[in-house]
Amino acid sequence: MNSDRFLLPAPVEALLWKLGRLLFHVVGLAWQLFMVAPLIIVVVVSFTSASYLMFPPPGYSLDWYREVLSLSWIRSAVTSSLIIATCATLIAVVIGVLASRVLAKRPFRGRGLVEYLVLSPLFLPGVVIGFAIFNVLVMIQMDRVAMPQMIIAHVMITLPFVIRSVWASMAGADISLEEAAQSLGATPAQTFWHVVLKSARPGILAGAILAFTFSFNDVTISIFLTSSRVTTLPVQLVSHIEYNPDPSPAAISTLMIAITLALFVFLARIGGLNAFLER
Amino acid sequence: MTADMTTGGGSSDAAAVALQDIGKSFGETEVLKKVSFQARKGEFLTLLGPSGCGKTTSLRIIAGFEDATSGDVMFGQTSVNDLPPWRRDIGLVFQNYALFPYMTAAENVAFGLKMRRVAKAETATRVKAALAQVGLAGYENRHPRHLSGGQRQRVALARALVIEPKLLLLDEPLSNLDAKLRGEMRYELKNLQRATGVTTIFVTHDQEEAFSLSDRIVLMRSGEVVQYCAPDELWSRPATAFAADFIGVENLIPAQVTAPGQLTCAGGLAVAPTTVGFAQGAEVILGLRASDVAIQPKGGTGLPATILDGEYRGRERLYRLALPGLERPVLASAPSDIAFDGEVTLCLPPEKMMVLHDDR
Repeated sequence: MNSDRFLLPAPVEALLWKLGRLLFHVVGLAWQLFMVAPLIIVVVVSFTSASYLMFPPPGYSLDWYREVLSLSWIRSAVTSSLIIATCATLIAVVIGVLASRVLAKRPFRGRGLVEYLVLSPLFLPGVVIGFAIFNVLVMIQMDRVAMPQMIIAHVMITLPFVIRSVWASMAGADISLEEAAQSLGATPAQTFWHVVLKSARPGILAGAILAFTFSFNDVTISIFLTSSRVTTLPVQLVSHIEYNPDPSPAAISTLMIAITLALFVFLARIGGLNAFLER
Repeated sequence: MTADMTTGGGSSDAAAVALQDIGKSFGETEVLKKVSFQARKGEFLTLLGPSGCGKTTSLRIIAGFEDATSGDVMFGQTSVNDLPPWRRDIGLVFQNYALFPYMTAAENVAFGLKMRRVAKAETATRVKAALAQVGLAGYENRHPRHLSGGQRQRVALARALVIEPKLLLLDEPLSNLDAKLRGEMRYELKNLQRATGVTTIFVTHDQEEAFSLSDRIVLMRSGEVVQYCAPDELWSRPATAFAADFIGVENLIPAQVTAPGQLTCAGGLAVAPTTVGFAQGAEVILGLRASDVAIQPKGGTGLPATILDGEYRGRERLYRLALPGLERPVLASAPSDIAFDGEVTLCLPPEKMMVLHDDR
């Protein structure tokens, strides 16, 4: 048929095919190593017995964890980071779900503008947003109310993550499910609860996970809003690294990794992650 | 079937649901123009028509998902124009079934009862009975994704029927099934409707489904009711050329009424059907089924014709024939065990001829 088509001899082709697959695996493995290796090094180094950073460590101990846990700011920083991330996530999910519902419904005048507005924090540099929020807070003399301002700022920056994932799952939802529910006697409120939220559950969970981790790990915005009373773990970590050339930052980093991992394990336990991965 | 079933109107006091002069526009587009029909209590009514004829819009107006621009939807003696869908007490089966994917079959069926705050124990019994009624006993804990198309269809039916609705609305529920299953489900649907006695409005574009299921048929086209009658009347006396074409009358020949009881077809052939209701000189369409055209070997009484080609259809053969005096070929069917070829004689029986308004 295609007599003029150039074909490699079959054995050569088979060999190339095998080489290609090998290359694929090698690249995949290298990529994973590249992603994970630095983290593994940090975790390993945090258990060192030496008072300087060195890999592999000359000996192992829990000295640096003891050191870190005795730091005056560590408890309050972890607590406020958790409170801020939890509150910001909850608020962002509530607002995000409602906003997504509006956006996923029929088009309205100015919808394009609303889309850009709610997603704009994704495109803008965090430093710019942090600086802007800081200025506004100073202007309205709110910069002394530590915790709420931090939460509001975090809602602002995490909202796009929630909206993006919830909106995606709502936009793909089957409208006839809502009509079926209504024909079966469900009021709009019941339909929203039993059908709209249930259908969007994977998107909501995915958005919440993204929002929480982003809020929990954020430095660029929080750094403008920290005060002597309220600070977050990553912000403290940054300033700690600046003044302490010892392995204690590695211990703090390991703690942060542990908290984030614990969150994912918890979500996997309650089945949330399954729903997240399934769709 | 009683005699008055065949008439369009019927007495309005027996109507379970009635549409009165329903008009509907989406912006500039008028999709329904003064549509009126009604279903008696326990009746199986079919809205039949090609896509875009307004049948689904009519159904959605009855369900309450669309507001009519004008006219009234009556349930019994009361207008439901201002009643939202969740208060209309309607069982609805969607073309895609619209089962809740995250619920089991039993949970799907229980949904309407849950919304009505029916007690748990009663819900369980009724759900079980409903699933058994559609032949799905033992499938209670399956999720929709683990059910076949036919099984999903049954769950959707059970879910719509378990709330004991005043009215069952079916939106092309068989169109997603393969041909064999469609036949079976059609049979079961009819049995289920008879057993429950629920007033049913069924939307389809398939004339065969309409004929086999309905007590009455509303044939629609471009937002208007073309014919509203019992299936046998639609079959034997289609009201217009469109109706005849839609239900599959093969020969539709332009003609003119030359005298009472006299037609001249395009091409010059004169025939003599009854022309009651048509003025002299009127342009009409002469309708004749292929099965009503008799083919005989050359030489008998009738019109000489030439076979152009024949198509094997199993039990019968469908021929295209050239007939002097007609511009276009005539279609005629004959049992397939005798194969005709070449010159034949055709018999066009005047009593089988339909004289129709040309509305195509």
